[in-house]
Amino acid sequence: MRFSIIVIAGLALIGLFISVLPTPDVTTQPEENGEVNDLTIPASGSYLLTNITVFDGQQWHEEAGLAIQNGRVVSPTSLSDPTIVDGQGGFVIPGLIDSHTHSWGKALHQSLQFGVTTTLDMFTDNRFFLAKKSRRSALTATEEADLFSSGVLVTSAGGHGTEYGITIPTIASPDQAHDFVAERLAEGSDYIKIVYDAAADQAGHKGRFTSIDYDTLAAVIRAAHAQEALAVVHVMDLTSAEHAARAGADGLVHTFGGTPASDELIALMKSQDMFVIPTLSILASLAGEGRGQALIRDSVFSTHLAADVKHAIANDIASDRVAEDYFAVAIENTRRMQEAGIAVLAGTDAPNQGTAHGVSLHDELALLVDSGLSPTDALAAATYLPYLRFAVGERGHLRSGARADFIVLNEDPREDIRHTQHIRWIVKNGSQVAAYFESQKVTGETPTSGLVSQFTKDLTSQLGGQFVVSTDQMMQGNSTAEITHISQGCDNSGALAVNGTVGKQFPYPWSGVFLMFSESIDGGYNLSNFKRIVFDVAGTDGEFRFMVLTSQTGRPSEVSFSITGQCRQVSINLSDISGVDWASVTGIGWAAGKATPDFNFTLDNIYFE
Amino acid sequence: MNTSQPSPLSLFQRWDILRLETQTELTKTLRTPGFVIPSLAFPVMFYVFFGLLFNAMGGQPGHGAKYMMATYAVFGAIGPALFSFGADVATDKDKGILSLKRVSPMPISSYFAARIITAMLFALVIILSLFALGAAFGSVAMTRGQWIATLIIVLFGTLPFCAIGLFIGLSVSAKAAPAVVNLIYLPMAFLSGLWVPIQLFPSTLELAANIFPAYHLAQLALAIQGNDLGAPWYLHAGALAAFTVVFLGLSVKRFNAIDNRH
Repeated sequence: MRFSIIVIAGLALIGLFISVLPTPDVTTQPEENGEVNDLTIPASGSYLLTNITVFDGQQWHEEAGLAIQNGRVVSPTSLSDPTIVDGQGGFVIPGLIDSHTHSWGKALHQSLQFGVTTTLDMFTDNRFFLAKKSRRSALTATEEADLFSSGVLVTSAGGHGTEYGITIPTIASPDQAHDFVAERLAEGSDYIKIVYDAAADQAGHKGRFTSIDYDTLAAVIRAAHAQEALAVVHVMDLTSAEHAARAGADGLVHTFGGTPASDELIALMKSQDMFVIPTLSILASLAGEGRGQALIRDSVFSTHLAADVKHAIANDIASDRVAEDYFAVAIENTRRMQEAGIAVLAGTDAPNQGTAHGVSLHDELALLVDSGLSPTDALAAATYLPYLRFAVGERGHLRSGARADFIVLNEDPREDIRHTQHIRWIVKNGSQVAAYFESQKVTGETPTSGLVSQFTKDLTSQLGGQFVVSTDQMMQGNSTAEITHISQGCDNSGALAVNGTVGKQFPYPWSGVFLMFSESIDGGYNLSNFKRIVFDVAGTDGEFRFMVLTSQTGRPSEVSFSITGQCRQVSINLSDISGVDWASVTGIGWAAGKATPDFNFTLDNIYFE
Repeated sequence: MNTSQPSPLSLFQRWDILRLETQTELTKTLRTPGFVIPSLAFPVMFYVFFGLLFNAMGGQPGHGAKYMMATYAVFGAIGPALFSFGADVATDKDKGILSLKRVSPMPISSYFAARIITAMLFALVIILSLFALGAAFGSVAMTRGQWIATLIIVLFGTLPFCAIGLFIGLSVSAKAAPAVVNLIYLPMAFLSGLWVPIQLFPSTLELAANIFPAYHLAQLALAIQGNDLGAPWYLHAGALAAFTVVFLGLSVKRFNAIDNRH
């Protein structure tokens, strides 16, 4: 009897012990949003959103309503017998505007998923910009944010902006300013962005870029104003900022760390009614503040961040060339400009390392509040102030006539600016769009066997897809490669041979062979059942890279492996390659880099297992 | 000669014998601090060193600690099984206690069952200490089902090691037994990836790990948290069952061959 009691008591104790062990946190986000997503917007596109608190860009309206018709906010009285949509006590803010981005690929889609309905790009490939520009006037349902852009920026030959592999025109002297600006505006630029570094021509300058001189800077700003365009300037230090202000710039697209802003600069900016886009997000990355990791680990976004977004923000630039107090000074400079009454606009510089479209703007708002802005000021910095300063049409406010771009939040952002992350619904052009936590996970075709190829007869891939040459020529580089089938591989049967050179023209050169699974970037293969890829390789001694392309990410994820003259088997754990959504892989590749200017290698017996 | 056959034992009597045998076995073991302390302390200490301190350095919080918690639980749990059978049975055999038990009316199965229960109780204490450490200091979080499944799998996964220990105990002398057990236990633990993740091994070693039952048990435990290498669970379970059957069979042969004339 006593024995049984001991046994029962023991079991009860174990049960109790197990019950207090920690279980994974389930954040409230899915319950709050995804599962009870009962926003039903009538097909007519004409409705009255009620039971909400509205921030119209300037003021808060308690227990208000928002009347929408044909993709615009209208006066409630103009709707006869409107369909009522219950806002369930949500907090409505205008769709956010990111005033400093660089856009390509999925940028606009990604932005919109986080409620950023408009982005002000500060230099991108004109082909991308012009393709998107025409769409921004539409008021129909869309899955992308609206894009405004400076198009090509104004820089010197060899200056910042020329390093990205697209050939851009550059400016050398003040007398070219008028024509240069006219060409940009003719191309479609919405405003003029100038890159300026006052220290570039001084002895002992450490940077790798040249810069236009002060006279050219002043001439370009004058030319822009003469042609009724806004001129904004990229500066990264105090002297350059002072020069830009003296030259009459409309705004600075970064604040700076390192040196405190001088009183003269602040007075000059104030007297000329300049604005500043501090881009604290990118300065935080530069200083290695770990903001991205914090978003990944401990934010409302944590549970639903896509692999590519995590990849983008996981690692800061963390430059060792900036001082310990660099970021603290940047915050302080922002605070002093704000206190002096200089307009502070929210911008992120996404997708530079450590930042990503959409998600980083929410963090920028938090950083602005850290710099002394009230939560409402921070919201205005991402809505009404860009509306006032840039010619973005009726975007950034929610008064009658505005485009119906808005976010419904679950929590009041006046209490805590981070409540902008508690997104319930996103509406663009009057229609609901999928938020980041609702976006459909793309899952590609699942191959049955992991065998890629043994190259017995030719270069056919049993897994599917096709082996193709890939080099930086697509980025105007000059690397070359060719692939052939050879009969004597590692195991004396056929193999894939790659011969090539790596050029110096593109700063991040590559050359090699890719296995592309699909023609379209949206398809891809679901390789998530596999743990590793194994292949035999021999060739030029050195470090090579294995790369993975997914439908989500523009930039490939990569790991390095070494090749020797001896044929050997390389096994790479797929989990070691960060930032890959293995459910939709569009291609894999083997590439040489700078270290091996002349290379060859043979690949054989490639399989996933 | 006139031998009187004892009347068959009732179920209650059998239960009572098992209970008594377990109690005495447990008391005897607890009176051997030289066994109790190392077998409880080693896995816990190792886990603190490798699972928790390494885990503190970068990476996803709780990830390394969770992985190592499973493998060190396996490491800790199979130790008492191997030693309780390997070393103790060898001693009992050499001293003639085993022969005594055999000729006594007690069913010999009670002797083994009591040992299995003792080994499992030790395993239970070790597993629960690792759970507590992982949860408190390694930010390990799993669903309730995962915690329970890990406990049960590792607990019952000690059975093949009882069989292996038994075979060793019956095969070698009491003096040799601890050495032989250690010779098998420690290299097997390392090569099965119980101390360092098996992913860090060269692929040939990783393949070779298949010959160790500890590898299969570790993979089963890791499969619960989705950190296994990906082979289907029934292969691991099958391998463990096969080890049990083979070593039990070998042990029966040994057992029948024991010289009982001490």
